[in-house]
Amino acid sequence: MVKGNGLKYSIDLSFEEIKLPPFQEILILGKNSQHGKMGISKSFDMLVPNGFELVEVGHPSVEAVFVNKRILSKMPKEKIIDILDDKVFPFVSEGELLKVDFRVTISYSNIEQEF
Amino acid sequence: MTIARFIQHQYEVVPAYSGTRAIKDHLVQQAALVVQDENEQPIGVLTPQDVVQHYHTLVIDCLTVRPSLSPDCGIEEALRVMQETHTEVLAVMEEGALTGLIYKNDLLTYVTDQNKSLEGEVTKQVTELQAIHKELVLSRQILQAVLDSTQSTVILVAPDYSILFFNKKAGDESQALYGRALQTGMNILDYTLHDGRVAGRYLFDAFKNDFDRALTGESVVTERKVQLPDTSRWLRAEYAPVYYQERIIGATLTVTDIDERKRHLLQIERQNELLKHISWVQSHYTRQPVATILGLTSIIEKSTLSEENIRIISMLEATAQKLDEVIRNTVLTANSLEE
Repeated sequence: MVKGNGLKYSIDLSFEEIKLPPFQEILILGKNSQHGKMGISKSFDMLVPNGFELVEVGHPSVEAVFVNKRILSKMPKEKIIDILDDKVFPFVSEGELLKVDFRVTISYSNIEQEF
Repeated sequence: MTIARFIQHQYEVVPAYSGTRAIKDHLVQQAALVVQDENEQPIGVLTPQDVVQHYHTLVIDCLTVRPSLSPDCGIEEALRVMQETHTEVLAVMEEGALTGLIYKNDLLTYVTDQNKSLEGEVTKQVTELQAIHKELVLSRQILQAVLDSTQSTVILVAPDYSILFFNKKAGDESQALYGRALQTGMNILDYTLHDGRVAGRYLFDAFKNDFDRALTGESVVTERKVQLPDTSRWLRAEYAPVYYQERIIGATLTVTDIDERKRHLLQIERQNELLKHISWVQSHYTRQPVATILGLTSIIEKSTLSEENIRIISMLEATAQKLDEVIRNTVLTANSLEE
């Protein structure tokens, strides 16, 4: 669109559906992040009441971990933290917020039952 | 002293989920803000130090967990807690409710003022003590001068026989008699036990007994003829209790040379004895013959005598009576001297 004074607008426009909060399974809060764990926890409670559990870890780079309670119903949080400690925490930088896709699939094999 | 009087009951409150940026100006002005949760219950105290150390966008994330104090907490204890937690301000809670805030600066100011006050008081007392000490030194010097000017030896001895004080005369006498100087703190009995001089033995043989009597509050005076190395002299020893704040702290031994006076007195006593003897002789030996003469003249038959002999006998009788009167007067005079 061109107006009389010669000023132009050029717009790239697209749409995408998002969900709040912008992650579904796990959020890792790095040390010295601009957002504190209490503030984030409060905002989660407002967005998804009783949806996430705050887990504090004694890692030098990690302030806290928010875990979707749906995951906690499938595996213990200690196990989850162990996995994160091994696979994710080494990559967390100071002040960083990191979302982690943590999809849990549970399967059984060779289920045998008596008639 | 407790922190009660230093509690700041006026304080500013901020919600826990306030933005840090929004409250930073208040925080700088107030130095501390009480943070309340959604139920308006205090959950902590926010300080500039918290924001610097744990900067987050929300106040609640900046909070540091700290202990609280009670109003009856002592100042020293409060300062210790502040020192340990590296904080400038703490909440004061009473029965679960926030009473107010206590600031480290207020406590330190008070303690500093107290120290200055104490320092001033100590300085004043030291000055007074120095003046008293100066006065005491002067008094002691004067007393020493007075005692040194006397012709008597003066020694102050403690109940345990240690020497507390002695004058110059005592020091000189000790050196001359025992060949060793008196020293304060020394046991005076050592001067009697270890010396070989007669004078010391003679004088101090009775020392312990007389000194112990003085310690009971009695004043004891003795006069003895003391055999010195080359001569003998009369000495007068006075033991007097010394009181300090109604308590006997020792006794003084004052030894005075009374030899000249004593010898003079003895001479007078001897002269008196001689006079008494003369008086006795006069009254017993001289008056008897006179009395005999008077008796004989009274029984002479004067009618058989010539006038000349009668006159002679009368003169003899008058002369004998005069002699008797002279003797009587001499005896009376001697008796009056004796009295």
